Amino acid sequence: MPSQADLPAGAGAWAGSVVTEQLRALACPDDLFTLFAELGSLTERGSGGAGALIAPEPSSALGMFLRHRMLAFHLLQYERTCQLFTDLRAYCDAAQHAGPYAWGVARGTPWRSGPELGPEQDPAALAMLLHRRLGAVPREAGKGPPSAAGALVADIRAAAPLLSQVHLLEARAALYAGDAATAVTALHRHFDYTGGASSKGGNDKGRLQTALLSLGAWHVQLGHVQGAVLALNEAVRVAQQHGDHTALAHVLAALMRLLATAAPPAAPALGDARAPGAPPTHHLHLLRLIRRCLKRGEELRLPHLVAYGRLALAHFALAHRLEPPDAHLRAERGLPAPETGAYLPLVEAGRAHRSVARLQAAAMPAAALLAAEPPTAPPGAQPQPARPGGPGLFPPATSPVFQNDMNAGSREAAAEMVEGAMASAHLLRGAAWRRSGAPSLAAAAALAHLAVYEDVASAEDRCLAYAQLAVTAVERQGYAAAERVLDAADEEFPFASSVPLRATRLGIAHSRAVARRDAHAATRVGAVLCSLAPPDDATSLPLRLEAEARNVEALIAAGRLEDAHTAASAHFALCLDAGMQDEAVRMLLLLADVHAAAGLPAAALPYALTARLHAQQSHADLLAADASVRVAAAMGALGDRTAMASLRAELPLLLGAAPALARARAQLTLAEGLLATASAAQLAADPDRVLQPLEAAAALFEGLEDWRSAAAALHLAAVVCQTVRRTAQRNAVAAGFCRMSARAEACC
Amino acid sequence: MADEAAAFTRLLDKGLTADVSHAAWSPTMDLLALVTADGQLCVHRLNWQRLWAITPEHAVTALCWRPDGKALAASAEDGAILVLDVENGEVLLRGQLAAGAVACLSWAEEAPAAGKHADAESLLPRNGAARFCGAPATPLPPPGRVPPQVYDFCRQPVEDTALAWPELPPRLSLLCAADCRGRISVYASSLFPLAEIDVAALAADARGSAPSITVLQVAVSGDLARMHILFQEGLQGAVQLLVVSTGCISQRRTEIRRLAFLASHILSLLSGAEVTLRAASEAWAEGVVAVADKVVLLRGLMRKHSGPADPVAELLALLACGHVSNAMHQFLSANLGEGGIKRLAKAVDAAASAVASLLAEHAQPALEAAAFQLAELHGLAHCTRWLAPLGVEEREVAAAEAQAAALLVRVEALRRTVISTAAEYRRCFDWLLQTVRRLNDDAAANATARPAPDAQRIAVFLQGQFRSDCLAPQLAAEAKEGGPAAHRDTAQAKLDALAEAVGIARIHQAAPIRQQLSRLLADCRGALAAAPVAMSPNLAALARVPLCCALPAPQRPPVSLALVPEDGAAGGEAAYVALALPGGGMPGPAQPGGAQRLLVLRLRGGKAGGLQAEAAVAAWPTGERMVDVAWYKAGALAALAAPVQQSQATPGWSPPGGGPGGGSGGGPAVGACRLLLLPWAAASMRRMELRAGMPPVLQEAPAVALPEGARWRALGYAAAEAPLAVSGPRGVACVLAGLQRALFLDLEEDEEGGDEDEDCGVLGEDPVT
Repeated sequence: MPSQADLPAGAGAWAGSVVTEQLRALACPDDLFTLFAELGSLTERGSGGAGALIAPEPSSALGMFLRHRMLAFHLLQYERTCQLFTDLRAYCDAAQHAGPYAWGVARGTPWRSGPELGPEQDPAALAMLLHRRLGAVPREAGKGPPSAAGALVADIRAAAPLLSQVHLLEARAALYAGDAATAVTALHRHFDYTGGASSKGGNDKGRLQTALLSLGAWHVQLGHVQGAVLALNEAVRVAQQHGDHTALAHVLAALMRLLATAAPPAAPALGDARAPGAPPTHHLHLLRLIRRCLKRGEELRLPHLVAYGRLALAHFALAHRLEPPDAHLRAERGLPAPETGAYLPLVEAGRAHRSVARLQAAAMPAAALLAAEPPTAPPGAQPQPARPGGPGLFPPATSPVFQNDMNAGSREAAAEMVEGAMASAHLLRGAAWRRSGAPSLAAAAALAHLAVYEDVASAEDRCLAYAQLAVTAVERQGYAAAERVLDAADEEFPFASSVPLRATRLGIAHSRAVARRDAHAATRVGAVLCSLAPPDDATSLPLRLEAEARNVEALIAAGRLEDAHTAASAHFALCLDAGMQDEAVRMLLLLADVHAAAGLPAAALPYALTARLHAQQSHADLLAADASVRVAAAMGALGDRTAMASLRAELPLLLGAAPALARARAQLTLAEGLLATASAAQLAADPDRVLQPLEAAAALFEGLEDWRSAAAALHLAAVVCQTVRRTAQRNAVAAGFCRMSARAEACC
Repeated sequence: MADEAAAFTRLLDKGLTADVSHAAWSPTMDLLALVTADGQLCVHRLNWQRLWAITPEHAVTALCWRPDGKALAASAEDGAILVLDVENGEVLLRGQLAAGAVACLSWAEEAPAAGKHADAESLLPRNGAARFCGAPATPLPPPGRVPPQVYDFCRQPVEDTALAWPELPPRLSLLCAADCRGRISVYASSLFPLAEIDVAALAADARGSAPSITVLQVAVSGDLARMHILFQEGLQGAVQLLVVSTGCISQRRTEIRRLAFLASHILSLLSGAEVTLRAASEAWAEGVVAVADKVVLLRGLMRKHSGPADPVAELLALLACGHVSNAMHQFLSANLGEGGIKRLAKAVDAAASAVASLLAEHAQPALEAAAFQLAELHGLAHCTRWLAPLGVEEREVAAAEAQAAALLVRVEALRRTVISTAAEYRRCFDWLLQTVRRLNDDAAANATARPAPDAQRIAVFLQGQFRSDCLAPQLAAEAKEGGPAAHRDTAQAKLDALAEAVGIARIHQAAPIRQQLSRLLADCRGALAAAPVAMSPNLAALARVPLCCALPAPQRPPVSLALVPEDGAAGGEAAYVALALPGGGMPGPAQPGGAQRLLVLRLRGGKAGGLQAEAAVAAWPTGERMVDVAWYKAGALAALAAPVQQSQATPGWSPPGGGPGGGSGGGPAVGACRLLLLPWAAASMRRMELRAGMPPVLQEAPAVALPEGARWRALGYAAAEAPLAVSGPRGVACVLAGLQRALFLDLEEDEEGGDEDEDCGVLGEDPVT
């Protein structure tokens, strides 16, 4: 209700005084009848009373509200009326003790929403509440215990046992809590109930298609590849049967998501996507599917599908090499391939971001209008009387965002989804910026997601944003900063079951253990990380690859080089099979590390060179820079004096944007290279040229808690100081060395 | 004389509307830039067709072309340096000298061969922004661009293919601007401040510092290792040549090129974003004013009906209980009406769309690219050891990078606020439209069942954004004084803590976005201005050659300095100086009749990095005075000579000297001025020893005759004026003769069958003698 201050002076005071006086005078439940009779007279005066200063019109917001309340009151049973009386007395007592202002509602929040669920909720209010709760489930997953959602569902069901959407709410809550069985059962139940309701309307086809699409999408989200395939195949069949192209396009989008989620061995085969002559691979199918989905969206003029397709394309480009659309045609005709620059992840993410931003800028205001413009009159129909500028607030748009038959609620929900897509676009861009060597921009993108889209982004996306921030924090500021980020995530989502967030947390713990040479802890954390992926290997390939790469790192740190080599080789093949270019390069770098650790620089060099070549070709600058460090180290170990040249070109990128470990390695390699090439006279003339990188490397290693490497760098620095006779500095460096060695010993 | 072919070819002879103060030929095209006394700067083709003309705000004091001929630098009286596009005269870049007017400008580019080896192992030879960021956005949409409301969301966004990322210039070029106090500011490509040279301090000898210095000409060698500065002490003091070692610039030229490119690009992107945000602020103000006018109208009506004058409360009452006061009724149905609401809605919607589009399509891409390049610059700043003595302040660049990232978040938040505000306005106007229709008893509208408006959101909007606009303060140039202090709630504090954890600046700041952007721009400028401080101490004087003692009159002598590539295996360049000295009253070897003398000096790099100087002095024929000299090419000197006619001074004619002993006098007048081309033979010059405290060259140089085989042509006018502009690469000259006339001469080709009234020939057959 509006506060007294919001109404015109006098009128508000009068209305307020009526209610306040009546509330104060409540002595028995019977007084409630007097109160409601007085309230009823308000609307009556509005409908014709001349003496009232102000009175709500019966059809106005307040008038409708009062009429609803009166109706609800008259329907109440006696016990309920008594309950209401008790509640009101308690409210009045509290208000009287709280002071004069408690009777009104604070200015600025006049439309206070009451308790979400009261005993007297009418079906419309319940439906509204359900609608709101359904939208809030993805946003609030992980904020409270899963039992809270169940309690709310139980309350609503008790209030309105016939509302079929309660099952949907239950299903959604279960889906986001990871309870697959409940989710699917409740979803089935929801559509079973709506079947009875909607069959009267004769819209059974739409219901069936929605059910199959939802089921398919939910199976994808739960990682049930086979279930999803079954549901989506059925959806294709139904859509084809009815010639429903829009539904088919949506099934295509769901299939696209399935293919993106499923690991290659488990992925469903799409027979018609096989290119003649070329070995069919999983990711190429996916790419074709995405492009086909985009094309169908464009043909059928479905802006949301186009936006989704563009985001999917950008997501694909992040993990795989994005071939131009006509690559195979060009190859067949012997034409040169176009520049790869136009298909980089960052460029794709930028395109997706831009098109979603445009859609967002149009969708939000379009959803605010009460009703879409009426369709243009068919040719033969009686012409409507001309209205200047058209019937609506704005003339009809040439490229409408929403279809005309969508109601206001659906349009608002769709606009909210577009906003959610915009939030996801930021995350995609963040990942792409990071790959291209701009960590501050990556952090800005994740922060934009968290700061700007707080009210629309799903909990899963927000957890992903926290994970991205934590990775940036550990790379730029160290473990403590990452802890702060993860603590913030915990504070917001104490019950989060987000896999990326947990994987990030475990990844950081793993890096820390490896740096400390704590093999037991590393193995333990690695095992937990592996267990995050579902046991059937059907999905979460990136997670498994991450776990395996970390496993190889741990094996190298533990000195089990043969095992490391075997594991890295196996997973390199897996990456190749899945078409994951960057992951393959990472495995190559690990293979180079294995050989370097084995004291075989000549064997490490080809791996490092290959990795660098591939990274450069796919414009993965940070990976290429990291590979250059390995190349320089291997060439330096082989006595090649030109090794430093290639490293120098990468130094700004390495020192400015690379993770702390890569920076430390680069500084160490640089110092070693300079020591190998400088003559004694040159060293004596400018020892800082070597000492500064060494000290920087030691500091970085210390920050990473890799005390052994820090000690090694300081040892080298002490030797250099001794050579150039800087005794004081040598002593300081040696003290540092002793400290680092002691910590390394203590840790082991 | 006229019986043989005339030397040179006269291409045209055109009248001018004003005297010319500066003239320069383009090094790559047949274009001549002229600055006239009426303040106009224009560029002419060889056929005198005018390409463009502009009139800068302040008088142009110096002029020079970029070595690639695609831009022209002009300096103004107030110290501004403008780089103009040769195509249309638009200002590409603008710099500002602190010390006031620029006396002399010179633009040099490293020789093609010099920059080859360094690129291979240079730092950061990549251009990440061009690969990773989208096409660069202009600060404002081009006129006639499709408005954002009519994008086709089902098509690929149309890329703006007209623009491309600027490419890293293949070679470094240096622009030297000498101010009137004798300080030379050296800029790398795109006006990146690189170093400052205080000529007075470098030229000061043991006796103490020289008085005020006027820099006459500056020339930088092709390897950028040496800078030659020709200067005069005071207005009539001795003329000297100073050679400064710019080895540190030469050594770091690849890094400087990269750094200057990055810096200028960052600054131009941030300046562009400033322009965009200003435009967004103006666009939004238009929409808000439209609404505010109507609110004022409503308030007036309410007062008139002697009711409370709070339009928001009135609207809220209308929303809550359908209460329509008389004032509101009149306002809605008579003043505003259906059409009025639609117009108002359209105005606000257009403003919001324009702001959202400006932010998304122009400000955000520019800020992203700037932040990306700041990250690259940050990486470069980490490698200061490899950049020394070129310094980039790592801390300041890191702070700027953090600010840029925070700005990006703020702009995205602003964009979303704009979009949601547009939606709220629409919702409110839609409700008002329905209300007006109901008030007007519009049967057609009332017949169609429309859903009830979302009263809750409209009420929140009316009490929030509608009552006090929250967007304008965010788009304001500065925070309002006395405004509410920035209060951070816990959510904001949490976000700021997250930002700190990942090393970017605070997102919630009291300053509006535009103010933060201005600060960022200033910070970037500050961080990049560190280069001159680090670089300047490394510039040392190599040699100082006094050419002559004080001149008898305060006058700029005809003088020319040029660097000429040398033949032979050693390569390198020799600096040639030509200086015309008035006869009489001058120290140095006595000249019969006090005729003018021409001093020529050649300075070239010797063995072991030393310098060798050779010089000669030639007597100029009596009866003529040199108006101006200019080195042509391959050691050939173009000289413009005018007859001495003291008694019949014509406009544009000023007798040399001016004192009682000034002027050559005595020589017979020929009645026409001449353009001569003297092939200066090195053999005639005598080697000199360069040492500290050496006497002026004029006193030691041998007297020689003017070289044999010089070509000349009489121009048919009795008077001529400086400047003489010749172009070696193009083989043309522009002579200003007669009464405001400009003559173009082709110096490479001789004319067959010259005019009857023009004399020409080769030296030794002088018509005078």
